[in-house]
Amino acid sequence: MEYSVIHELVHRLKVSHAMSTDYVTVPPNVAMRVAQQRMREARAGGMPVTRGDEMVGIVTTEDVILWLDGGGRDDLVEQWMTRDVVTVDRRWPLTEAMGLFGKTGFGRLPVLDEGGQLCGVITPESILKSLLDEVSAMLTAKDEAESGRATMDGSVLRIEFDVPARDYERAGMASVRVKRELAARGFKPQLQRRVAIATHECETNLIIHTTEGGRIVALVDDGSVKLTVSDKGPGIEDIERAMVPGFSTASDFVRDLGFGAGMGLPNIRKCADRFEIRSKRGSGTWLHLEFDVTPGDRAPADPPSTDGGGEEVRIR
Amino acid sequence: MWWSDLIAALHATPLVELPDFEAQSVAAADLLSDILATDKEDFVILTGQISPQAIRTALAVGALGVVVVRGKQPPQETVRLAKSYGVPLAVTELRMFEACYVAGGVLWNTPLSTSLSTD
Repeated sequence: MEYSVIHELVHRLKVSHAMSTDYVTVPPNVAMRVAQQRMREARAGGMPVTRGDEMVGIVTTEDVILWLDGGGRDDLVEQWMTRDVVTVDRRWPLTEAMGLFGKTGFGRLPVLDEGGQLCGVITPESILKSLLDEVSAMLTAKDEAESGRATMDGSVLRIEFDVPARDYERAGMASVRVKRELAARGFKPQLQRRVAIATHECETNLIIHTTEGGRIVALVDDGSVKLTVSDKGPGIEDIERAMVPGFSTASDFVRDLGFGAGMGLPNIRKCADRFEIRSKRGSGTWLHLEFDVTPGDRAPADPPSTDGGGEEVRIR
Repeated sequence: MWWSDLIAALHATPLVELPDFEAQSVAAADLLSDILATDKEDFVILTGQISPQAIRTALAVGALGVVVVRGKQPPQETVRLAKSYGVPLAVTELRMFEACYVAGGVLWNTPLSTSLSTD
């Protein structure tokens, strides 16, 4: 991961993304012993002192040590707490909070909302956790975006997916990719949706029913979207029956995963403008779908086109 | 129906939070294939499915958000995917029937009892 990614993240993310809302507080009029116990149980290096909704100070490990040094008497929290509290606003970019940690040397900072009310606590650990979450979300998105191979053939975008059998975890990845490509090219949501649903059903069929998986090829140009799906078996026993809504040969296991309602092929046919299927028991299934692109299916402004020549298309 | 109102009525815990939005209807099903077959627009999904496919299904049909019922906790992968693609995700302890009942109350603005128990 490059430095610039983290750099961009800490500027983009807000304090509210990284703060913890699961924190302990203590009222000012209880014994320091209570505060000490609460901090130990919560393994917290400090906690806000609150009277009702109002934060009146913060009590830290250092305050506890000073109190113990002084004999650990039955003093109240308000006698030892730090009143001059450095706080951060939850709308601030993360980088501001990180700067304050460096400047003050504190291990935690209370977070205030728009109304000045305490709404969280931010620590270097909570920042690290939020950054790791974001980075892994970015990696997931990258992984998904890079599923399939996209090439330009003149003005035709060709996206190819090899869909392995039984890889249920990946169901829908091709669909998401195709939809993104259509969105990036200015196709309207209604068309995106028809194509995405059909692609989703096709890849699910390949995953659930085929012996060796199969291939989906999507061809996209200004006038149409075409999908060709092929596999090497086992083939469909009775296509007419398979086209009946609700007819399914899926196992209970597959149904537990949420698939196999028997709506796949009927749904694919419903979404596409043209639908052709050939299948032979023992040798495989071939499916061809076409979606017409009417002038209304595209946004007025064309996105910048990629140069032709079969080069790899980079996904933003 | 505002997403925030739905979440509040379902006593749902948001896992992926995004700016509030309005939905016109709800698609409720445990079989994602059934959701893929819906004609609804501007809708949110109520489902018992917690796999990443629940999010990809939502993306395919253009659903605006996903609420998981029966208190099932989606795996990290699902949450990550929802976050990556900006799909609001929440979990309610209510079972499907109760969740639908409550969602109907929010959707059609009919005050319903919110004292439904989850056991």
